[in-house]
Amino acid sequence: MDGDSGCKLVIDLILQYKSFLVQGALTTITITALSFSLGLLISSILTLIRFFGERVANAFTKIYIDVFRGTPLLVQLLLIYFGFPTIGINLDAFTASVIAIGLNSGAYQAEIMRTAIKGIPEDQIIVAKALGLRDRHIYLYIVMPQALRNAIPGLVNEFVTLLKESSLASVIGLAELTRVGEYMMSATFRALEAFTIVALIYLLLSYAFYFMSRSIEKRFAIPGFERWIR
Amino acid sequence: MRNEVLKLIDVTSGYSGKPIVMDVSFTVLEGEKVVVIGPNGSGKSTLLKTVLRLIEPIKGSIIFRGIDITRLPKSELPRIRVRMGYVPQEGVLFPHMKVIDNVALPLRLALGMSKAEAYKRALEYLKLFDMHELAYRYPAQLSGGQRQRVAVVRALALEPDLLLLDEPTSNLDPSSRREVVEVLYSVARMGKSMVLVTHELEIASKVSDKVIAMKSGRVVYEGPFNESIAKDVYET
Repeated sequence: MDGDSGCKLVIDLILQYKSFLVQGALTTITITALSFSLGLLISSILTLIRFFGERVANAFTKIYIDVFRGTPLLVQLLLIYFGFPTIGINLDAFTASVIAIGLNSGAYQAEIMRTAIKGIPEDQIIVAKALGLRDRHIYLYIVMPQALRNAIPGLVNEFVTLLKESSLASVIGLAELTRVGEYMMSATFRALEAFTIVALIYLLLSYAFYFMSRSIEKRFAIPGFERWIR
Repeated sequence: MRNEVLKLIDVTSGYSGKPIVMDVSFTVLEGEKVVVIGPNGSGKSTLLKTVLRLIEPIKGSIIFRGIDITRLPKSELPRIRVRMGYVPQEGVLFPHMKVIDNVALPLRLALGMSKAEAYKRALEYLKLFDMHELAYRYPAQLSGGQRQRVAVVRALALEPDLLLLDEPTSNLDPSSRREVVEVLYSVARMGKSMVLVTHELEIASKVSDKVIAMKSGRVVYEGPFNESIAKDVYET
């Protein structure tokens, strides 16, 4: 197969399956966005516990993070989708995927926030206390605005990681982008072209989100915080 | 007779139970300017942080406006701290906020002023020290001296009963130092009660009503500025 005919085959395949590919890409983006948001919510709660919590609560956050980072995401997904029905929790493939990826991402996002908070010099917290600010004010007005800026690159990386990890949902039959690639391969027996197309779409989406993240970083950029603008 | 603003009685404090400041006692009267001098490691900064209970005293009492703050629960401390304007070393400002926000933030959150009132007062104080043109800049856009002056204004805007200044001229280039020294002299002329920690004997001689000299965590002299005693403190 020469290069021209290879390209033609790829283009033909894209045209033939374009509606499936678009639908698969939209499902991938939706799972990514929802699981990222769930992860953000979980990481915010874990971060709050770490900032204000007592020893027992802090131990809980550590266990949560260790469990979700120390076990494979695929195993967590299979546990939720196939294991939960035995305890009476039946979830469809989409919901199970969002929950599994979201719970997992919460642990990673909490670590991103921890590093971002650690980047804030302790002097600032001491001065804020000395000026009569209460802990909740320090968290809301001093810590979080800076930590979120520090965390933007890490959170964008996490989003793009989730975009790719969402392909694991294909294992439980969800018709996201990778699963569409499998359909195309089964129908045409052209695995090379099918998964090349799928890989290219993932690549394009990753670039698109990296590009968007640059505008977010610039939007929130202030003098003294340029260090994280690439 | 002038009222006592601050009274320390046999205060010992330090980190992890290890004393840095030992058996320190002194009084600051209304309008009195107390300058604390002493070599590095003598416990001057620890002393200021102990007054604010940012470091817990191991023993002794700190009486501020008649209230023994060493007995107060932690939840009560913010309303006491806001009455002691603190100026940290190297003018620590919040880097994500403009100058005016840095000054207005404690007015809103610690004093409970409305946003409009807080910004009005912040601007008034910045104007008082000719710094209103810097109001909408970020700390990273200021020189070291300007940052330190903003930190002084931020403390003064709280209209505190007592100012606590921790080596406000340290680590500044000569021109920035001059700017800050001028501000210190202006503040001293305002008649505020203050405790100023400094290495600079010239500032101590011009500003102080009383000098506290510290060495190895203990007060070795308390009285009017005396050049030979002050120099002795710095000799090893």
